Amino acid sequence: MNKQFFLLTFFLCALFTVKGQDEKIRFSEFTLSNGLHVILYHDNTTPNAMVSIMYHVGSKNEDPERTGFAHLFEHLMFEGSENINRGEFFEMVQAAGGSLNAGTWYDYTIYFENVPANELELALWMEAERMFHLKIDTTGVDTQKGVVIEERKQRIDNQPYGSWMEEINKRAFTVHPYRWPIIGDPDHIRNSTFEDVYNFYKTFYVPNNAVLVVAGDFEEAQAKEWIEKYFGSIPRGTLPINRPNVVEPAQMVAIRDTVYDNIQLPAVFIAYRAPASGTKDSYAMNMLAQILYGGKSSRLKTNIDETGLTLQSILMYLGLENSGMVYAIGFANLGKDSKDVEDAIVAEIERLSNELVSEEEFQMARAAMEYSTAERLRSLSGVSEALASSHTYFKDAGRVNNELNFYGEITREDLLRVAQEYFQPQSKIVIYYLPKTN
Amino acid sequence: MKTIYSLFAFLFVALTLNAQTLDRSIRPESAPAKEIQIKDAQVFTLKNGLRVFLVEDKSTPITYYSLQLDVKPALEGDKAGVSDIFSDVYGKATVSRNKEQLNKETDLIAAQLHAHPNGVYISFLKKYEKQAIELFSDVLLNPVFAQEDFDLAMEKMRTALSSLGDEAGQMNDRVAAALTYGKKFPDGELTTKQTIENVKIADLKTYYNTYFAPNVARLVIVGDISLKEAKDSAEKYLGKWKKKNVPVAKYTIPSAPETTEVAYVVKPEAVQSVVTVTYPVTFRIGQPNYEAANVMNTILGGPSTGYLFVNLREKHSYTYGTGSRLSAGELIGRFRITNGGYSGTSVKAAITDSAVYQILHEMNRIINEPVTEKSLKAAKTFLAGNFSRNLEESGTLAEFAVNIDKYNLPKDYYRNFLKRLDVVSVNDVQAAAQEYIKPKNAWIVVAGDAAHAESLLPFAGNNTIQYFDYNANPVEKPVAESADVSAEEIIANYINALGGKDAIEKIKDYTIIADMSAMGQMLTLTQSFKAPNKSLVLMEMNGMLLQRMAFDGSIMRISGMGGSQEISEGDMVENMKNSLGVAPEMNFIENGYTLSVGDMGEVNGEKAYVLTAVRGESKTVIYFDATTGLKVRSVEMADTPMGEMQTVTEYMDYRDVEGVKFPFLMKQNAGGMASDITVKSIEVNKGLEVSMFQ
Repeated sequence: MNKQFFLLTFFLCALFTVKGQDEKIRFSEFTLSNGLHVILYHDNTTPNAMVSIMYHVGSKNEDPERTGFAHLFEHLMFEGSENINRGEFFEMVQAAGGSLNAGTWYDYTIYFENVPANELELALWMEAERMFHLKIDTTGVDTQKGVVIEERKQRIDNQPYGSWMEEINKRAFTVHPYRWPIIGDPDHIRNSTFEDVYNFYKTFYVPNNAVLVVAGDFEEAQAKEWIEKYFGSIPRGTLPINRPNVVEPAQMVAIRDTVYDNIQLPAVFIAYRAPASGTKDSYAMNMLAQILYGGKSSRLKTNIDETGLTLQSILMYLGLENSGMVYAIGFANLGKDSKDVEDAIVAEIERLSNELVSEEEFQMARAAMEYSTAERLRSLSGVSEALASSHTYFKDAGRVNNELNFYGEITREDLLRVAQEYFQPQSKIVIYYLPKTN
Repeated sequence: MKTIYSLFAFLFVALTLNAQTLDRSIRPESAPAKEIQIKDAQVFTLKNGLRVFLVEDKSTPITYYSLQLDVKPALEGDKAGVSDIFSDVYGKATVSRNKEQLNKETDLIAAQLHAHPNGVYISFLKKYEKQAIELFSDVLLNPVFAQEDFDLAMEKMRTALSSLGDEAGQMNDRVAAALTYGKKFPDGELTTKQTIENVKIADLKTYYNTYFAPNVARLVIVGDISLKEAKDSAEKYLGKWKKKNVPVAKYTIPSAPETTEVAYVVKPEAVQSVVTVTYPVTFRIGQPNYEAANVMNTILGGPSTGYLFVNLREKHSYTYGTGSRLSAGELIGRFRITNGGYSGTSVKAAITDSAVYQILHEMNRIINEPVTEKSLKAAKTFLAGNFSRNLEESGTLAEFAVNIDKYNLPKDYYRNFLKRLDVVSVNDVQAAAQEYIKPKNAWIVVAGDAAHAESLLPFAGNNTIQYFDYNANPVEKPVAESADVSAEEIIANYINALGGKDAIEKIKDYTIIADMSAMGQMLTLTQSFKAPNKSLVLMEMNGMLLQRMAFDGSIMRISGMGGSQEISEGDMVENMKNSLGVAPEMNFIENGYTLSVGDMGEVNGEKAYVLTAVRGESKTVIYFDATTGLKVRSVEMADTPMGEMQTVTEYMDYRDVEGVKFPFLMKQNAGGMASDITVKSIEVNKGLEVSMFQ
């Protein structure tokens, strides 16, 4: 390939070398003329490479009458392309010694192949194939509808408490598309048509709605040449992309409900809305969640689990692109009352909005953030996913190297302020799971 | 041959053509493979017998220490649960640190500390190394088993045990483990509500005092740490740990069942059944065909392209995930069908029996059919790729060194892994399948709704479904709803539902034209019948005759692309005579069939009467809808050289033709080949010539 052409096509960003933690993620990035953003991360510790493509489409971009579609589509992306027969996608990657997978989230869908370094070109060609000309037939669509419906049963319907997130989110969000589950409604899935498939593909599966990350052992100039060769001529998408911008109104009244499930052990699920991913407040919320339920001396573990009130409690913060959620779960021990569990968890959460956390707890949370950031960036897949999502959400992959600085800026007063903003009695959702009585 | 696919194919053609003409049909060739470097772990032994395995990795900010005991503890027996409680109590406090202090010190350095019956693990950021190792060795050497923590652990365990039975997957796992290993082997012991009450705090202390010793342990260190630092650290913190004599328990080594048996765990209202096929098998790391066996299992049960995945998920949509695991064990290994992970596969409840059938079919297939060179090569490359990718995690090198030590493997065992893998042949794979895959000596374990249990009877070598509770204790078969009708009544109902005996007998001949889709092909079927027992079936594709099968009442003539033959006697002819016409069931009794009625069954969620008809070697089970009386499913069983073959047909969309109902849609599955037959037209009493049936 002509070198001059390269320079014209690629907008080459500076190499990032940053301060803070001893080891920084060094990567380069550029955008093809069709809008495909590319990030290269070199690491030749082992002779392996990883190709990831993140499309900026998730369940939140779906038509409310076609929920589960982003996820169904993820399955269809393995069906084949103009030059890859049905069923061959898996086969080719494995025959090359690789492994592959994909995932659908509220905000994005990611596909990746882990391959031996000498098969990088193949993986790039394959991803370009399905971005350029995916091919699907009736058999494929019908099969994958069936598979997805079984997936729903396995993950949700046949799991004790399996529907909890669905039950909470549909109450937490009244207008925002986060109100429906990623896996979707089986009826919507059954009713989806070829036209739906086609429109979805033409709208979202376009280079200007994606970021490609190549990580591992490769030669940079060679990788760029292949990327230009296979992706460069894929046309830019032209259809308007539905990016929901509805603002979910604040919840004014506490919500309380009961779900009867095939379970023997009652459980209580408590939820609050929370900051969107990447906002300053999201870092504070991560630390709050750590203080509530992170280390062995965290508040829920010490004051609820270790007192014998619960079999187990759990708390997690989920940051999404447009919003976020904090979920707490408590399984009462035998002979203990779910109401006491609820009161104890809520008291711990709300206490954060009444008083500053101790200096010691604050230090623990900082140390934990440092550990988890390092842990996340230990593998090629961890780095790839972090770079891809940083670009997708913030158009700034370099944020992966700034995480610790963001945490460093958070003060104990920030924690109090964020807790006060989000952990209000009226903004709480409480759902009891009780055994079905036959 | 061009398949029908391309007709339906929905092609997303790119809108713009590019000036550059890239031929995208050219698949990139592999570049030369890069060499995989395998660095040896550094190994040293302390005076007290503790062997230390160090992998120095300068690139990671996180270090971990993992102490692993290599012991064979006594069976827990009626105290099953000691190790569960031990996990929850051990590591909570030490002689010099109470629970609160220990937790606080761990959290201040964000260390991840886990103590368990087989050792202690800690990971931490390098800068906290000193504090972390101090905590690690304290937990290892000076634990306190406090009554308060014991009581709390017991309370939680009681609560957890009370929810057993909530999840079909867990029920399946428990029963499958107990049946595979037997209750006299550690992996087969189950903690129950009864056994947990026998566990005392003294048992935990005894366990610790008996089995925690440096001479039966290995310490793995991975991180940015030099050999000298590791030696100093191990010596300083663990050098004073005293060796002792550690008893070694003898277990009853399990063996596979003599014949395949079916175990059913009832989980009422389950929307999916969790299915596994499992048995113990002698399989160890380092044995000569270890690589061949792994290649074989990859082809049978590997992800995405394994026989099981392609059949059960991609072809039939029975499940979201399936695969198989062949795991090596020091004393005994295990084969099992999984969901692709570590549990049984969850299948659509209504097709539980079909899923089991397909699983066994694929197990037989890998034994009977040599694998293709292509799939052999793919599986080898896949395993080589996995091997290389596992090295991304530096702990893998430590694991290699530990295995070499534990199993007495040659020093270069892992360096030669790829060479050994490379020479595995098609014959080696088949030999491994014959050695390790045992569809005739397996436990089929299913957790699901009771309604689907009896459909598994054909798979039980001992002709019984054995019911178990989730503690793997045998229980009585749940009381099924018995069908309070006779075989004669079922048939009479059916005849009435079709339109009555008179209307049926008025049909002297008919011709049915139907489309048949099978394996992506579309065929045309023309079936003509003339009373009492003449039949002609033509199978065509795109106007081309593939097969003709004529029966004139005594001689069957089959011709087609594979040549032609005439058959005038034997089972096939006898069966033919008795199975023709609108409702051959009408004449079952006078034709010498033995009929029996089973318990109420279910077809696609509807209650059904189950009628079994046996005549000579042939056996057919027919399901009649309890409400409409119509035939909704038949299962024909035949012995073939490939083992027993089942043909399952479902009858749907009954429509009236000249006063008699005919099914217009039939879904058939014959030995794993699925086809849909859609009727296009039925013509009746056109006075078909006798000659056409010659």
